Amino acid sequence: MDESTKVITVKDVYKSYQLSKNAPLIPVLNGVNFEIHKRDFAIIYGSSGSGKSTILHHVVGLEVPSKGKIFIDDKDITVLSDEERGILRAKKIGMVYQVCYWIKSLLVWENVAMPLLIIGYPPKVAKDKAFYALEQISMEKYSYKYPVQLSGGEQQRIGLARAIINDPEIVIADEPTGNLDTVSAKGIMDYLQFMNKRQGRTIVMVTHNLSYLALASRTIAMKDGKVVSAESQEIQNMIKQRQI
Amino acid sequence: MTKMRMKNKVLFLLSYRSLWSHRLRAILTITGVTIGIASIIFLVSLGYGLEQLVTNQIANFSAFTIIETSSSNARIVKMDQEAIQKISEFPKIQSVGRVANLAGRIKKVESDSTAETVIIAGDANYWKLAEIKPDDGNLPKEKNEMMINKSVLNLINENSNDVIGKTLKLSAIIPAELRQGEEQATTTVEDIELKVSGLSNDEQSPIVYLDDNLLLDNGMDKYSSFKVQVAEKDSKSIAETRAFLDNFGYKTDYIGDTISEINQVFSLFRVILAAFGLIALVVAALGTFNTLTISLLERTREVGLMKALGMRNRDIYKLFLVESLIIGIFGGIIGLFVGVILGQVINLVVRLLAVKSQVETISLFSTPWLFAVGVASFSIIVGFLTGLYPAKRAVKINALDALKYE
Repeated sequence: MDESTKVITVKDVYKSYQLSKNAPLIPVLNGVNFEIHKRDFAIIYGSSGSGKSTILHHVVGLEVPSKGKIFIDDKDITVLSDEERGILRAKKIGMVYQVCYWIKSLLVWENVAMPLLIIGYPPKVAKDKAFYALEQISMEKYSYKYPVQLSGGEQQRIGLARAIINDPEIVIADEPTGNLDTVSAKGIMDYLQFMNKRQGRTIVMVTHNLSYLALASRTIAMKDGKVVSAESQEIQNMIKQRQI
Repeated sequence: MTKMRMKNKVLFLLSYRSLWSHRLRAILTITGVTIGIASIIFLVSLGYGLEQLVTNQIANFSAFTIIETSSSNARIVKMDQEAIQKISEFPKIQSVGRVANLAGRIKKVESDSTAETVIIAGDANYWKLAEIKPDDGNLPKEKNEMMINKSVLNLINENSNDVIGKTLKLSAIIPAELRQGEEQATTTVEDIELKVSGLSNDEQSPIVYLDDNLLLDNGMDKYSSFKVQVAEKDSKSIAETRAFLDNFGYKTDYIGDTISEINQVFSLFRVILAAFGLIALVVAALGTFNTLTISLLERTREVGLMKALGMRNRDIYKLFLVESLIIGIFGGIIGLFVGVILGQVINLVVRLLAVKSQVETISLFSTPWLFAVGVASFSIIVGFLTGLYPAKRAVKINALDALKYE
């Protein structure tokens, strides 16, 4: 693939946290480098504390690196303001979380329409689009319920509908199946694949579940805040342990 | 990047839903503000009502057109016919009532025992402007007539039934101040026989009312004071006329001065009443603040989500501000109605009682609409101010921390 199809470029990203003023710095990311291309189904995996969720937060602009650059479509997002990154997210990136977050006082369809309302769509247009999105995942019957009245699997599906309501190029999923039973999880994974294969969206997913690696067009293994080779001893051990 | 603005309508609905999702809490908070606003309206309306009651008692309609004019130095600033002529030429002046106050003695024709009395010698204008009316008979129209009050009757042992038409003897002591020329001294006009034309039921001090021409014929040249009636009641006419009279060197008194003093006392009274109402509003404001803070804590995650979805800081700010504005607006408007209606209900009850016991009806509560609108707007301002801090805090929330917030 040529250079022009790069949608996400992470370049020498370092991040360390300081819990209190005089506490020592805790390094979490230690020079992360990777590229994700258009229409990739990328899976970032690694053990707990490897920094995989943290790098995801950097990619979507919810966190800023201590050092290094992150490009979305050749645009350096590390130089943008909080709000500018927010706008970028609203327009280009759909997000799915392990736990679904909702505005509890709003109905299902209103929650799904929220990303559109935030960027200034007229309520009527946003409503039509939300209903269409809910129909697509056969969830329209829940439109007038409150999200918290639904099961975890149902909520996650609606979360997916919300993630793509603004037709984003990139969908970022942070352990989307982490809290689901296998049947629900399969439904979610099928839908993510549908988004990737049929709708042509770039998917970046963080997971513990290594059985999904087979679905990926690109895998990024992380350990101790760095990207490591999939062939490395530790990763191989991890894969073996999980598969047993 | 194109400009993206969340629609204000959407923001409003979002705030409204969030507020309404905790119905009981919202109602209690709004009720708090309602009580605060209603108590201010109620108490201050009482203040306005009482003020009106008092000023209406003091000043009836025509009193507001009259300027009391006197001279602090009768020798220099003369109040004579010439002066009346000059004053009457001023276009704003409708009429001038003239009066001389002096002392005298009165007795029956056939008796030697005299009684001291006050003599008020005026013209028809004066009687009208001073609202001096006989309870029986007529005011003195001719030089040989007089009206007396009951107090005089008592002193000379006359009967009120048949006094009208009788002749009494009056001596008038005309002081130097009422006489022309510097060397003039006090003069006494002895034992003029006058017919009683009218009777006043006033029993406070003995007063004899005379036609001023009688005394003008007997050595009086000047008056004690004038009542100057202004054609228009507006404050500009009053002020211009007063300035005109002041230029002559006259001392002017106007009932409006007294009224404005009373107004000052009542404004202080109203401030005190408003302060009591304000206490309720402060408590309500704290309640609102508390509600908003709790609402913010409960919605920390939601704020995180909205930020993660790309909502702008200004929109998040508005979201919380609108919520507190809704509380302020609802509380203000409902409080306005409750306060006004409560006052009117009491007015109605008082009126019914007054009608029942056949006394004059009064209104205890009066709400000037400008004041009412002012208080309701004040409630909105309070709502706005209480929302500022929670809104600011909401903006400062870090999206990622908020999403992890339990």
